[in-house]
Amino acid sequence: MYDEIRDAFGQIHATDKMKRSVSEYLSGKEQKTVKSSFRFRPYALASACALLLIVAGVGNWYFWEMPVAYVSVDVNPSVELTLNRRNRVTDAEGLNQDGEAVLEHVQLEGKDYLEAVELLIESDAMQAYLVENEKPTVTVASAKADELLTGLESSIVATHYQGMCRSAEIETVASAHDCGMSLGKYQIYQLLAEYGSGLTTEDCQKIPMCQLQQLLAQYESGREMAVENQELDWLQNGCAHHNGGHHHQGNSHHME
Amino acid sequence: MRGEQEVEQAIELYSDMIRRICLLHLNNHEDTEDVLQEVFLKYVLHSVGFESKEHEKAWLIRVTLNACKDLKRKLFRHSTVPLEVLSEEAASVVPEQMEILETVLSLPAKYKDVIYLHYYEGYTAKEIGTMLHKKENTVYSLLSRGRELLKQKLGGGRDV
Repeated sequence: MYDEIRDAFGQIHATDKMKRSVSEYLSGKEQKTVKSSFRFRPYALASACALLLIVAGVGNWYFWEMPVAYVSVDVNPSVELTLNRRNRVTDAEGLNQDGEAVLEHVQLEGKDYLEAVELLIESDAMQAYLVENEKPTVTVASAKADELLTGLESSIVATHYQGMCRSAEIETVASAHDCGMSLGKYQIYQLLAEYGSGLTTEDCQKIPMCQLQQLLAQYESGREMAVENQELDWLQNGCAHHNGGHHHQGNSHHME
Repeated sequence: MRGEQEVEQAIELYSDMIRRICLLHLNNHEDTEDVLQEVFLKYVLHSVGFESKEHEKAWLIRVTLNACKDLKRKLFRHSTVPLEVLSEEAASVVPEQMEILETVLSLPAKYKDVIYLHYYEGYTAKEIGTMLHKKENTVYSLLSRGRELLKQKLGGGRDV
C-alpha cells in the first residue's frame, strides 16, 4: 500500500497552465512595482507618504488592533483570546490562575485564531489538564460567530478532543469581564442562574468548570433544589477525579 | 526579494508538490491556481534565507497548507470528495491508482495531510508534528487511524 499511495500521488502534477499562470501572475506583480517607481516626483511622493501614514495608522488600528471578536477556552484553565478583523489574536489573557500559568508557556499573539486555539490546547501546559476525559469548551462572541465556529468545529478541539464549541452574545463579553470570568464560564453561570441555583458570580469564579458542568447537567435533568453552603464548599473543592488539589478557581468540564 | 531565475527554479521544483497538497483540500483547478500564485508570491517576498532545501520545502508545505485553509475559510467551502479536481488526470491515471487517490481524498481533512506527508513525501511523525504544530503522538494517532480508515474503505485485504 505504501508504494501504491506513492505511485498514485506520483501521477499528480501541476499542469503547464498552472505553472504559466504563476509565472504570469508574478511577472505582473513585478511590472507593477517597476512602473510605480519609474517617475520620481518628490512633492507628490511627500504628499502621498503623509497621506499613507495617516491611512496606514488608522487602517493599521482598524485591521490589526480593533477588537471585534472574543474566543474563550475553558478546560480547567480559562483563557480568553481577543481577535482583530483578520481573525488574528491581539491579546491572550488568563482568567484564572491556571489560565495565567498556561499562557506563560505559549505565545499566541499575532496568530490566526484556529492556530492559536490548537497551539493552546496542544501545549504541554494545557495537556496536563486534558486528562481523564476532560474536554475543552470553546466559546465565541463575534458578529461572525458562525464563521469562527465552522473553523473550530473542524479543528482538533472537536475532532480530536470532542470539545464543545458554542457562541455567546457579544454583549455578554463586558458582563463576563466585569465579573472576572471567561465567556464560557459566564455563560454557564447565566444558565445556572436561570435554573435558580442561587450561585453568585463570586461563587462560580471559585468553582471549577467540570463541577459547573455537572451541576448544570443536574438542573437540565430536573433538579430544582438551590445550592446550599455545604454543597458549595464541596463544589469549590475541585473536580472529584482530580482529588481537588489541582485546580485553582478554574473550570474543566465534561460534554455530554 | 528573490531573483527571477531562483523563482522559476522553485516553480519547476515545487509546483507538483503544491498541486498535490491542494488536491487534498481544494475542489477545483481555479482554487489551485490561486493558491499556487499566493504561495509563490510569498516565496518571492520572503526575505529570510533558507538553511537548506529541506527547510525551504517544509516552509512551502506549511505556507501551502495555510493558504488552502485560508481559501476554504474565505469561500465557506467544506470538504467534499473532489472529483472535478481529478478530471484531468482521469485519462492518464490507471483505475486502481485513481481509486486510491479518491479514497485518500475522501478521508477527513485531519488524516489527509499526515497520510500524504508520511506516505508520499516520506516525513517522519516527528517532522510532520513540527510542520503542523502537532505533538508527535498526535501524528502517530492520526496516521494509525487514517491507515485503518483506508483499509476499511479499500477493503480489508490490503496491507497499509
